[in-house]
Amino acid sequence: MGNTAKQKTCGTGKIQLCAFWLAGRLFGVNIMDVKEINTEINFTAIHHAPPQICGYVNIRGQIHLVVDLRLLLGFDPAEVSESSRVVIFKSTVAEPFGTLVDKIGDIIEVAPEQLEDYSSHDESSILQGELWKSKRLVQGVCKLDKSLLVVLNARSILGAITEEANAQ
Amino acid sequence: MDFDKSIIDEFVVEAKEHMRGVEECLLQFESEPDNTDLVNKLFRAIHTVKGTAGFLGLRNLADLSHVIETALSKVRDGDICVESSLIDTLLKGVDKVSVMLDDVYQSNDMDVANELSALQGMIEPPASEAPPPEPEEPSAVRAWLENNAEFDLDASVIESLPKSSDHHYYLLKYDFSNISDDDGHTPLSLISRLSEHGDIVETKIDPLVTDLNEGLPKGPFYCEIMFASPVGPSDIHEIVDLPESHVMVIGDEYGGGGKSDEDAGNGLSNDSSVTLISEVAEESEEPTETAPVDDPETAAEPADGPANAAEEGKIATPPVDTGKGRNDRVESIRLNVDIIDRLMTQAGELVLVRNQYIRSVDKSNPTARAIAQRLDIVTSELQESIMATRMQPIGNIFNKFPRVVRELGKSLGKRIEIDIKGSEVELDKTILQALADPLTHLIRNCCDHGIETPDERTTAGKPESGRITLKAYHEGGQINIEIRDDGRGIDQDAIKRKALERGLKTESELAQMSEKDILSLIFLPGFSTAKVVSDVSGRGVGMDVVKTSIYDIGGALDIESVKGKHTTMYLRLPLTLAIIPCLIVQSGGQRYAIPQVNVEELVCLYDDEVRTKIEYTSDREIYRLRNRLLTLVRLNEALARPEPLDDKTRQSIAERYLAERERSEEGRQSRASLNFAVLKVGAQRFGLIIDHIIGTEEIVVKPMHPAVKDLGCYAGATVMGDGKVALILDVQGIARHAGIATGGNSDELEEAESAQEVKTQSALLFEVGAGEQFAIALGLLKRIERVSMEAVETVGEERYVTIDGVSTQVIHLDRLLKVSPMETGGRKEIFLLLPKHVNRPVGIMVSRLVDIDNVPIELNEESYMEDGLLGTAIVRDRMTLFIDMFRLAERSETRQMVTQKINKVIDSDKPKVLVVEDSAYFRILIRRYLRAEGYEVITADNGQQAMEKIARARFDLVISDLNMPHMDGWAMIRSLRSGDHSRDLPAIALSSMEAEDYSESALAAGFDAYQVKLDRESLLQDVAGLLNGKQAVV
Repeated sequence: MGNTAKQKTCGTGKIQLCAFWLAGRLFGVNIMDVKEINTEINFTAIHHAPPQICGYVNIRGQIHLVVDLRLLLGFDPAEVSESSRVVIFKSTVAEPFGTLVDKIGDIIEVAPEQLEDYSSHDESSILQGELWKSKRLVQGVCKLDKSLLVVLNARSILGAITEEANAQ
Repeated sequence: MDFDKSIIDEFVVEAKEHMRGVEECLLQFESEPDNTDLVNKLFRAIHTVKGTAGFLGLRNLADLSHVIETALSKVRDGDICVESSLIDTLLKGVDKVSVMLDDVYQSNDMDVANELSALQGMIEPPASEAPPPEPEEPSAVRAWLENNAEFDLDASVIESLPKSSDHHYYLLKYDFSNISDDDGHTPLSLISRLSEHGDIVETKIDPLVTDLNEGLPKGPFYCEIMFASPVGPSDIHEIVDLPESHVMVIGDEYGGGGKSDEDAGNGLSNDSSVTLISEVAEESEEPTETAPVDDPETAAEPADGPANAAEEGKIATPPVDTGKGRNDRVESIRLNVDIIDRLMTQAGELVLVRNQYIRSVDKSNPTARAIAQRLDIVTSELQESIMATRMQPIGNIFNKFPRVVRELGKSLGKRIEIDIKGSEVELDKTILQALADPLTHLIRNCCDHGIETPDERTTAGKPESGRITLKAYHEGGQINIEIRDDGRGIDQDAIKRKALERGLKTESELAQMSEKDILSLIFLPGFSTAKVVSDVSGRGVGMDVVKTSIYDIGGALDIESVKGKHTTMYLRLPLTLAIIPCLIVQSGGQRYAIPQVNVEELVCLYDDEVRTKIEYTSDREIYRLRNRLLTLVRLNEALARPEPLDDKTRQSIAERYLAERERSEEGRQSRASLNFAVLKVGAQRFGLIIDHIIGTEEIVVKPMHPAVKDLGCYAGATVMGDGKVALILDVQGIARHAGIATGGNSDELEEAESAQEVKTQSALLFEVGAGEQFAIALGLLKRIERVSMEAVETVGEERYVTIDGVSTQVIHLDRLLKVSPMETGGRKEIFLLLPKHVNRPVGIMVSRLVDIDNVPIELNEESYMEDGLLGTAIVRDRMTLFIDMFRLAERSETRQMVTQKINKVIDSDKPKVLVVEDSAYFRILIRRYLRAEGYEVITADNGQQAMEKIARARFDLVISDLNMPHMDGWAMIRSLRSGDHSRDLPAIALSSMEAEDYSESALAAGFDAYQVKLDRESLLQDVAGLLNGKQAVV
């Protein structure tokens, strides 16, 4: 995992993840990649852009591209609601962009060893039955007490869109 | 290695800046060999480069600049005279320096032998010349300099050194490994600091280090600098910032002769006349607290005792400015563009905050309102200033052309002069960068294809040397650049032949093309008319590349040429790419911005027109705009489909809207209106149907996000006043997406239009009653307002409407003229035409707007005339009455005043007024106004005609336009004022420019008054005033 080196660990060597909900499932991204959580959900649609792109949003003078993670991961589209948020990533991740999520979750600390390589579970285990459109987005899977947390790599999100657009 | 690289990079940037100036100076120097300022400037620049290069161990660079410097010093002393060949050699040397700077890390491996020997050849004095007079001063210094083995100084350099009687010489020893950014010093900052206080004579790196390509050594890394300065040894520490042990004084005036400390291993030469400054300090009366290595900041911090503090304070005061080498320095700093971009974003954000604040501010609270106002002003100014940081004078690229032209002229055997105007015009940095190559190409073209050889020119009866004129100026919010050569022009037949040869056009196509079209064929890819492909131009990449790159930065390129006379290229460029005026429209509930440069006009169709004016072909909606067929594109449809529209899609769209129209016809339910903007891309035009037009706005352009930047329909995005993002449409991209064929028949119609342009004038056609068609020149209209009939109030006999908070008198044409009565056709809304330049708010009530059309300027004044009309003309097969707005406004005032005015001048001797104006329309209009006042009016088309008429007859007054062909108003007034005849003739300048400075320069040129076209009242007042004034004087 190329990014583990960059993942800043907290005192106990654990990774902090920013968790959010998408289609009833829990996902997380490394909190070091996240700049802020924003409530601005009025997007300017960009016609002709891939369907996974919600549009543009202005956050303090800077225009951000917003990606619909539901569509990117292959879930059904949903209306934006009261609880919808935009997770804005840092400029070190990519050109200004964010992702639309259904609901924001907690900050979850996990030990690196808790993070299981997703590829090893390929057909068989915990994510079996899920239809993942962009498997390369998934950095790892982590079993929590009550649920399963899928850790996404923020740095692959924009690439995944282009990839998909090219595939079609 | 990072340390190493950043220093060298900084050097390169600075040195390049110097070299730019050098080339320019050299060229100027050729024409003004006596200009010593120039030599000194050159000398200084080269000297600095040499000094730093030596410092950094860039041997070749240092060597070469050293010889150049030597040559220059010889020139300065008059040892060599300035000849073309010398300048050539110097330029070559300077070029090589630039080449080395471009690839500085390899510069030590480059071969500079040619340049060196060429320059040496120039420097070597012709044999057996009397030795230069030995300077009278003594000289330990000189002796030391000449005999010093470490510094192999050229005799001429020693010659050029300042006299040691007013300069002190030092040998400074810096340890580079110790100089770092942390305490604010870099070798460069040191050098510039040193050069401010004296001359760096020579530099030398510790011989242990020979090859910097390996990186800098780890240990101490010494560099010796021989430094000449008027600053005495007691103060030198403040400047050089070195420990005592590393400063040596050369010469024996201070040292009292030949003592020196052995400092083993430091590589300093131990010459008899070198003295350590520590000794000097000991010997001098006042003990000098030197601040070794520590920088002055630390030293200046409050010290223990007051006396001590005073002492320290003294050290901290900036060294005395010797004034040397300082005068040419412009106050400037180098900034990373990123910082400016960030500033731009933040200023944009501030603008938003301001907008929100102003909206929310309590208007009834005067304090809050005042603060809001100030915030408003400061914010706007801040934004402007930040914008200004991006602007650079176009001279930055113009300046290299004299050189280009000179060299090309030489290699082509032609004599070419270049004339540059408007170098100070400023352009956005990005545009400037993109402009350099196309402009160079165009200039090269002028030299290669345009200008003939001297023989050819003499035969053609032209002066031997050709002339290229390069001119930049502001106009209409754009930058205009003209490149004109007085060469052979473009041979249209040659273009035609070529086009046939290449199979670009068929003979019948060519036969139908206008001259302009044929000229523009040279913009097609792979087109070059040069018979011989030279290395100058015509390398296959041609005008098409130039045109594309100009288009890419939002510019336009036009060409004009007369065979045998001249070729002129016209470039029009936007001022900046960062902020552009845009039309904001709405479509599908979202706002879009369309760059104003692409917008030609806006058309709104109402009610029935929506059904009747749009025609359908199999796959298109078409609107007939003043005899021009305009393809319509529906923005919502185009944006709804990610794939480019093909014939089939277009067809289905057209069918759908046709069906919709038919349905609405049956149901008699008409859509209220249809808006479209007429957009142009190059020569092509189309109409873009949108839902609403919101208005125009200056917007800050942000590039598209990389993930969506391939979408052709958008040129960028922007943040609107309310904080929402709007997309900026790429008009060309939309046209491409909608699959509209490029080129086509629209050009022909346009061509026909422009041919008529001279004699026509665009006017608004309208109706009041059922009978007549009226017209008014568009130029006289402020705007057209829709008014509801209910809003019209009656006061006595007059009717008023409130527009913009001002009660405006309604003029009923049917009450003032003998025309058919007003018919509103049961509509609740009427139109009011609001004229420009009337002294009282009036509006002409109109029931129907017909169209805007080109109408003849020459009006028939005989067949039907009435007070309040200018005349009649046949427009669209109908007799059309041209109304005189001013006269009507006047007539609607009380009758008494009108009669008074008419009687005013009639009984006196009719004063004779000469009206000079190239536009026939204004000529006639002004003549009418003046005649109505009882003046006798004679007209002239231009200044030349006017001067002839003035010479023949006596006039009482001249009213003249400023911009005219043959002889303009400026030239006319100057020749009038300087001649003997009618020198005191009063003159009024009349121009469409409202700028203050324009009027000032008109008055300065000799006009007695300045009038903006066309304010009748004010003009007549000036006329009367000047005529009366004159009578008083006589």
